[in-house]
Amino acid sequence: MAEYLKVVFPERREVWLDGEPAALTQSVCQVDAGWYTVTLAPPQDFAPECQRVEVIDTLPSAPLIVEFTLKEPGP
Amino acid sequence: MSSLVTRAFGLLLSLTLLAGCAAFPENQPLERIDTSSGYRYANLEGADNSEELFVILSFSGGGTRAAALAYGVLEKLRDSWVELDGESRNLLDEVDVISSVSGGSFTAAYYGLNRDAIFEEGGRFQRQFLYRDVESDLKRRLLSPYNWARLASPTFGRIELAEEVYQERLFDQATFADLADNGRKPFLLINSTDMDKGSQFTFVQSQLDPMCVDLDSIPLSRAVAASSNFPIAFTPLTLNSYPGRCGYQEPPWVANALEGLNTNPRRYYRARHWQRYQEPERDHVHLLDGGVSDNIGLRPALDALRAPTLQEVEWSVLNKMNREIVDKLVVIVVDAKSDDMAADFDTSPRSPGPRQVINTISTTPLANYSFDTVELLREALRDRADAQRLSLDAGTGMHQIDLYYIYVGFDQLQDDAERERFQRIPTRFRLPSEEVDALRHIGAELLEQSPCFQQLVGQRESSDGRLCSH
Repeated sequence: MAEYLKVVFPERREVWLDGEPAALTQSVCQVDAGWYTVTLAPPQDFAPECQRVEVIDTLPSAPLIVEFTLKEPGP
Repeated sequence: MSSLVTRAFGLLLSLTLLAGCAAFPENQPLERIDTSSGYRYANLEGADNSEELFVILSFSGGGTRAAALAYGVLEKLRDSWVELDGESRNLLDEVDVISSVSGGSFTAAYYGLNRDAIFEEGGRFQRQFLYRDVESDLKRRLLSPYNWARLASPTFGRIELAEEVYQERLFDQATFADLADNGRKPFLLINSTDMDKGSQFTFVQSQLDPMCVDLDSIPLSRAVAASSNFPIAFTPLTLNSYPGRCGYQEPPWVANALEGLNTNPRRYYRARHWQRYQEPERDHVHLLDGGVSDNIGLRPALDALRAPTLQEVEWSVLNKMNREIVDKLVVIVVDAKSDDMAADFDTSPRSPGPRQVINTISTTPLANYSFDTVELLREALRDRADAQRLSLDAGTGMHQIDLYYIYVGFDQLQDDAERERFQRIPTRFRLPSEEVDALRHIGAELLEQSPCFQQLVGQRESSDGRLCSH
């Protein structure tokens, strides 16, 4: 069953699913239903570090939204 | 008299020793996992082959009938050109992946190894396989008393004799290391069936990583023998496995998949099967014909279209689509399925005999499964096209891809007599030359007549939607 995921981040960046480059931020990507560990490609300037999500019951017009934010630069 | 007895005893002793010595060729262990080496998609150079246009071919089983039909399709692709970034590119050079089973694996493997040499008129492939009575070669091996002694060994079977024939006739000592050294696409997925769970077993390094087996040590002839290892006619083909000896780390998708039995059982069972290869007591893997698990060779393509994280993520097409690398996806299915129209038992009240029953139970489930596999692919492509349209309307930003599904099969033939003629060609490794010629010709012609192929090569206007399926 095809499911849909959209990773939101202020920059265009590669999205990693289960430890592999698998999509791009700001675009809807298609995945197989189930659990995924989502993170972004380096640099490590985002939070949280990773998110574990279950992608299920989504539509291309209503994907699961996973949000990462830019970390505040350290002092 | 005593000298006769001594000689007979000597002969018996020699044969016993020979039987004791005969064993399948052992494949070598992998010392450590190194994703930068070995036969992996990511290690092939893509210089001349754009991924913007991603072409997948699948070659079905069906003995020489399938090999010749696939050959005709390759010939047509060699003679076809496609416009890409304002440049005319040869379509055969643009093929990224060939997935094959059984008879189709001979054509795929020979092309992967020898490229254009496969097309030489009267060349080795034609002379030693396509137009050859390979069955007689196999029978001669089987009837040799020398081989009877070898066959008495429990670790040497009829499939090893078949492999020797394929090695001698087609592949010499070539191994997957030669394919990896060649470093060019298409990436070959030679498929067989793992007897343990009936799951597909593909000869790529990523499949052999959890077994700690070095694919580079495996001859191409052995992979082709496994792929065309028709049950009963041949013995199962054995590979050594060395789990736990190369520092293999289970990929993260496996743990996630194992939590989704009810959400996504297909992904769950893929993970379970994957884990079986790491079990320490599993020292051997026994393989049967790829047709037992998928006689059309399309399942790997289907998985690659549905799963973004496979065992070898580099060739997941969905992954490439999501990363906006692929703009145009072409899947060409070459299906040499036959149709036994001799089944006329419904004209009689008599119960069909055991031969007819065995024929039905051994062929019908495979044919039904193949039909469903083709339908699943069509559905997957249709779903993708629908999703793209919905996303476009909603402004959610899904990458828009042109999708081409091209089916080359005898049931596309309009003329009843012609269709029946091809569907009646038996599954053999021996066909009359005129039938091989006709199969080559019809393979090329069916591809050429496909409206989607015509659209792909610019001979026909594009349809409105993103999916061309015909």
